[in-house]
Amino acid sequence: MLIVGLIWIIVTRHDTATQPQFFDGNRIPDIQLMDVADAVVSTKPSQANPVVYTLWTTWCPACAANMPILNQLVPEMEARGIRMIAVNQGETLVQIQTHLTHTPIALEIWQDPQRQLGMALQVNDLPSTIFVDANGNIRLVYRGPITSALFRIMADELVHKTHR
Amino acid sequence: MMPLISIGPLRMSTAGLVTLAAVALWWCWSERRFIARGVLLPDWVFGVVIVATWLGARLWVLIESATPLDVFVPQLLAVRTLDFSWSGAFVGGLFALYWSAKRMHARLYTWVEIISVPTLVAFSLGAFGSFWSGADVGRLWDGPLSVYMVGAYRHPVQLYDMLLFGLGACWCVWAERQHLLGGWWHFVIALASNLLVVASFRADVALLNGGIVVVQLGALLLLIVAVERVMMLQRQQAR
Repeated sequence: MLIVGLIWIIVTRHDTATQPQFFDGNRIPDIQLMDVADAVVSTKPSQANPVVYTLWTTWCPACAANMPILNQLVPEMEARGIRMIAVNQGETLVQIQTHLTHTPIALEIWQDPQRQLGMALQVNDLPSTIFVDANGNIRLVYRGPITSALFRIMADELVHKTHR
Repeated sequence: MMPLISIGPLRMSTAGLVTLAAVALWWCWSERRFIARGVLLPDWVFGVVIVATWLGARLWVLIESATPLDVFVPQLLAVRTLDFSWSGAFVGGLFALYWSAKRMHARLYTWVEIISVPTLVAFSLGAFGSFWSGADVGRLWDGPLSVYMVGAYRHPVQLYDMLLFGLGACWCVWAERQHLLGGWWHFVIALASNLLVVASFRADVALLNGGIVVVQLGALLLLIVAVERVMMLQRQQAR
């Protein structure tokens, strides 16, 4: 039994190489949220820019570890016409603002106290990064902290799609 | 994506609703089985088990995600939560049963044997609820049984869970009907087999170097111990 079990475990092991999964078909739902200035914002595609949403919370250590990487990518992505938006999940504006006093975030910040976006996309993992092309198609849902290398690969894909 | 359902102050997904149904089924069925075995339990035992199951499910998630201490308690008690863990729920429930059995000077093994079949059926129902609500924890796959969730074809792991928990319940019923000794260990066999098989197809599992799934190693060890114990008891019974 030990040998059979070990064979099963080895045969079904995961491929740990980071391969981005590209897919078409699912459109980003149109959800109205608020930004940190309490202005109404929407996930409706603008037909102009690809958008990258990062779902995060102030208490999530993996989000805190990933945010500096995303902060560094903001100028580069802006230059390529890609919007980067950090969508807070389930917290109040006061909690977000308190967090921002000691941890600056260069991305646009939206509030989602009811976790509408996370629930609509059925994403529970934090942080999660959702790449949406300019037509509103979700190209990748990446769970967990993302590397700048993978982010750039996806950015290439988004820009390529937009200009196709 | 299934819509959220509002019942009074609660706003639940289909997974939440089916989980409540599973808990109710588990409660009623377990109570009947306790009575059938001549064990009269006060209602507080079920209350303690359900509260411990909830706390265990949340604790597991919070510890796993290294939640900071200043938000730990509010997150633990939050009603509208981000995530629950089946493993944490099981450990919490088991701990409550152990505490209750000790308090009532009863044998934990006997209690676990009694609740084994309702628990496996409730897990099976809960797995279906999770699938119905569109939770996507399967590895990417485009085979004939794959389901399309969040923009990709994936293994329908909740359906595998449902099937294997159901088979585990059948196994435990069969063992009961055959009057085999070690009902507790049959329950462990059902759970460990499920973990060993289904963890292969889940995307949300911790991995060692080389992509080996950590939980599978624990499950294999548990399975070997449980099978060995059952065989030993069979040999004793045969004598």
